[in-house]
Amino acid sequence: MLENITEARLTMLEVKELTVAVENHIIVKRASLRVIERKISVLMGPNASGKTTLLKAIVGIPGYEIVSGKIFLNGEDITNDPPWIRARKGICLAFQSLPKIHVKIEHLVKAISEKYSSANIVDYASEKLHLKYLFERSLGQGLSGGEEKRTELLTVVLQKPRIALLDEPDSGVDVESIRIIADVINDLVKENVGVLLVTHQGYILKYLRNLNKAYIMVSGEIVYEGDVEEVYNKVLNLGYSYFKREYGGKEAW
Amino acid sequence: MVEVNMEEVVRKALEKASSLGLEVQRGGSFLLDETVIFKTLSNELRKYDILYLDIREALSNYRDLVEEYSRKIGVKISEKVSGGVLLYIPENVKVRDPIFTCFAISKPGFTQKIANLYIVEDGGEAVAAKGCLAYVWEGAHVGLTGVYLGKGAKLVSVMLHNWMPKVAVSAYTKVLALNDAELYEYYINLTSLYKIRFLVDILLKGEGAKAKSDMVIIGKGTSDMTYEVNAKLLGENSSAELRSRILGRENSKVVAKASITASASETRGHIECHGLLLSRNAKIATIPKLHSSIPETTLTHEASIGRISKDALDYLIAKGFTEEEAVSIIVRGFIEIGLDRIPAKLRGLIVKTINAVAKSSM
Repeated sequence: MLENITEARLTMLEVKELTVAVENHIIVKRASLRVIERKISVLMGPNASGKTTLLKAIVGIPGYEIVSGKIFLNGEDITNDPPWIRARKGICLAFQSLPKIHVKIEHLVKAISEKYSSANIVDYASEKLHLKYLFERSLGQGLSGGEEKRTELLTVVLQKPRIALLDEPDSGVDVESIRIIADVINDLVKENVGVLLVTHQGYILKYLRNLNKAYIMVSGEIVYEGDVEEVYNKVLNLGYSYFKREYGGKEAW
Repeated sequence: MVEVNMEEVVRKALEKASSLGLEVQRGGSFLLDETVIFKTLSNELRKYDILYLDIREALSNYRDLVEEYSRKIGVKISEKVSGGVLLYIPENVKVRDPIFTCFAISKPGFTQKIANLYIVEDGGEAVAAKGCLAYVWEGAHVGLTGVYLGKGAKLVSVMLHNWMPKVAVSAYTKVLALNDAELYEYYINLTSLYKIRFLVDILLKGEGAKAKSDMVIIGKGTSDMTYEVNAKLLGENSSAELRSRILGRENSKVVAKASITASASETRGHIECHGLLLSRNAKIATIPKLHSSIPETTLTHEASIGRISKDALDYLIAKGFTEEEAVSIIVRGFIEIGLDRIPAKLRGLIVKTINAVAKSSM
């Protein structure tokens, strides 16, 4: 009881019964989850289960239509805010992959740091993420998996977020980069940020502290939630098919 | 009768040039219609046997030199011109600071005829910054430029166009490059105009001669713009790289042609033309051509025309930028080519220009 009250008090982001459609197809169905201050919540699920769609709907990307449900940031309903307003209120998304555009990383970093008054931390953050040498390169062009993920995480840090939605920051990344990325995520949490981490494999979890709750999404529905360690062990030992079989919806799996 | 306050005209002209980053007063010359407003540097440069003169003065005092090199390059410099410059860099003399030359039209309906001759002798180096501007709504500018690059000579040429909506421009440049000579040409325009026909022929005659050209073409208003750059690889081991970035806005129409012809062995050429359409009514055509009569060459090209992708916009919007700001960031990135090739002293001018173009895309 006390735990529930505390969690409610510390909830920064609350997604309530959210249904999301893309091009008139329902992708996410009545998803509910909470992201807690100074904690890492984890969202896991198989490919094409709707995790990325949910994150994009939370940040308000055009084309990700909220059919029903609400999104609250510190109790304020932001469901209808335009994406740039949500971003400026503190919700930011680390994309799974970078768009292929001719924009030098240096210019993107400059534009973001000017918008969020974070120029003073550019050097520190880019050194921590081992990125300085990449500043002359263009976004999403010829970057390795690790470089892309670290670049994306740098943009998140520079946004000085209250909520960081991290879409598979560990996929296609070598062990060294995973450690660096985990280290920066831990730093974000220390700065009172609430994190929602999407991960397939979960390898990064062993480097993270302050883990809160894990959610399992299959076929667009959050079908299970529980302690991160318990959920992760079940995923490893039983696979996602177990959650679909035991808790999932009606669609064929 | 309307009395023209010449001082006022000159003051405004200089202010405009300065606002574009063309610091003619610090080192260079300024031709307003057909009057040389001033030229600095000429006396200073003479100490090194460098000639930097109005072309009419050059035709009077150095006719043999003008005719000899015009003939070598294959251009005809007429006396019936409004002005122009002769820049002559003697053997092994290196001028690494930019020499600014500015041509401006201030009389409504005036046709400004320009002839320039740039001669860089063996081992010489020069950096030419050229600005062409108009302060009045309509006029015409006809330019002919001959460039001679001796063995091992280097020329960096940076050109900025800032015309007005009813100005018509016709510009032809012909370059002759001997052994191991290097040419880098950068072009950008800021404003709309009525029509432009811009043609550059580069003859890489010498062994190991190199040419690189970066063009940033901004289609605005109802501008009708045709640009063509042709490079001929005549010397063994010569190379050319021709790149362009074209922005199609409003009702503009841009045609960008580029061709590389290889006639000698171990030559290399690359053409890169990318167009970004920001308006449904703008039109862009990119026409890259490669020709070779010999097998020992490597010629490549890549070309694309498209609009800003939804992925790119979504990404920046999610980072907290409005759609207009996102477009501006993407445009800036798209047109930013060649900065690493531009001498440091001119980089600020170009950065300022591309920032202005990006901002006006919002």
